Amino acid sequence: MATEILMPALSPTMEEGTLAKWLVKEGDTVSAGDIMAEIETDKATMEFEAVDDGIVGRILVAEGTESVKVNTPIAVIIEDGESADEIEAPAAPMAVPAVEEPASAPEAVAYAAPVQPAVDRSPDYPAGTEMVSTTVRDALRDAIAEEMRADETVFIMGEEVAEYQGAYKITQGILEEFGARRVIDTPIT
Amino acid sequence: MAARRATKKQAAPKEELLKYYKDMLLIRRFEEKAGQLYGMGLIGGFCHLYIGQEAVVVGLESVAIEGDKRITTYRDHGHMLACGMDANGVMAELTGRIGGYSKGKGGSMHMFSKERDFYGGHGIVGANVPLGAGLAFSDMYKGNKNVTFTYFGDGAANQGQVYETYNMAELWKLPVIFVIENNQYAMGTSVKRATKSSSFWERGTAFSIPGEQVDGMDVLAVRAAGQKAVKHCRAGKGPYILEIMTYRYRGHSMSDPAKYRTRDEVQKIREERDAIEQVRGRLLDAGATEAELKAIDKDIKDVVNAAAEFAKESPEPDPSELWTDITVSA
Ligand SMILES: Cc1ncc(C[n+]2csc(CCOP(=O)(O)OP(=O)(O)O)c2C)c(N)n1
Ligand SMILES: [Mg+2]
Repeated sequence: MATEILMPALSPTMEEGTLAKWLVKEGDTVSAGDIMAEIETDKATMEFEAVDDGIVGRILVAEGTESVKVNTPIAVIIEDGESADEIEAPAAPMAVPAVEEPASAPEAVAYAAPVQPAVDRSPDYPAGTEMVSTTVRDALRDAIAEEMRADETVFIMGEEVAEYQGAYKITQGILEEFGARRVIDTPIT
Repeated sequence: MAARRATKKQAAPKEELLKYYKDMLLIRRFEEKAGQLYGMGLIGGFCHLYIGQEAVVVGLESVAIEGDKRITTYRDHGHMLACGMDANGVMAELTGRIGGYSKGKGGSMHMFSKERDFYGGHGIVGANVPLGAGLAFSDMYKGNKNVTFTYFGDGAANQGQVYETYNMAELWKLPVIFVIENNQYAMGTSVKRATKSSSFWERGTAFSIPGEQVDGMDVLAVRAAGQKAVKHCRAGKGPYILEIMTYRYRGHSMSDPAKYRTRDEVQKIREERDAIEQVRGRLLDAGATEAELKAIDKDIKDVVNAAAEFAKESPEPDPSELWTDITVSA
């Protein structure tokens, strides 16, 4: 039976990605675990493995295509003896399963409405400060780098901060800029 | 002190090999399916696959008896399947559904089974090690012959609490087997970048705990070492350390760019040392036919597909479930 290979989500927040590279071509035999493609997200490039044995019947999304939505069919795997010609080109990307509204309302739990404290919402930065739009991750990275540039005695050490670029990519590029003396990987502690 | 690496090639009858083959294949196919469901957005949060390490848990479960306990890390799906937990319940927990072991509220790292004496996945590296000693303490206290298998990684093996636990475990002769699953990496940090010691089991000698290093890609070698360890523990001689040399084929978790090792390194181990392929070879030598093994492969695929179906169909927990299972009535 022909099976569609769908664009995978490589992290819980990934909605789309770039199909950076195909490592197989139509007609190739693949077995479970073989690397089929490289997928790029804003975070990293990751390898995508075959989950079943079969033959690459057709590649539906060319390499280099950007903004491929998660769950879009990207290739079709066929079994020995099948012909790729019988595969209809799938039209629309498959929808991500929607979270259904629960049928019954949850049992009401009696709670006193929390008292809203008065909050001063006036900005604590000078008027006219220029704003940039960024992610929390990049903001933290930039702040670390700024401190390290300003002060030679500032260094960073921790698990996966250097070569791995941070488990959550907060130190991406830091090792490259500041070198191994100031960016130190530690064992688990 | 036992210090020898089990070098003698073990043998086993066909029936026994068939069981290991099935148990290991179930874990591998289950994990591949979990990876697939993750890619479809059906599994959220963390998900750490056990692919490559199957022989460790299958070999050790083969020496466990009723009432023995097991506790492990976040890389726990294989341990659950190997101790007899239901594939449907594990998969449905991964997809966060009511049919899961924790009613869909725990996810990959938080499942437990009283029936199978499985005391969980644990997300804090090293923290399950003292808990494992605690479980063993309960068996010593009750005076039974049970042991606790406490699994942890090479990364966890550098944690301070592991050594506090070793000290107490030997002092009180606790029936605990410390199983270090040395898959050579802690996330992206190779063992060589984390320690200058050449082995982890030898650190036990500082506390008078015996142990050995084992080929973790050979299920029969794991079983033989496991037999020695349980014999030691059940005789009341205290803890034992098994450093089991294994390898994880996939990333640390699902989003791992895997820049810390080469594709060739992974490929070489898969091709030359794969635990399932080794047993497959032994089975063919023992007279099993390709057709027989193909039928097993199909049965296992059916079990895994059924688990995936169950995990997709089972409903999400009702929001009122937020208020249940918070406290336990004693
Ligand atoms: C105390 C603690 N530190 C760090 C982490 C982040 N972390 C999760 S898994 C992991 C690697 C552990 O490696 P290892 O013990 O070798 O087990 P493996 O993942 O190889 O099975 C790290 C650093 C954590 N969960 N807990
Ligand atoms: Mg490890």
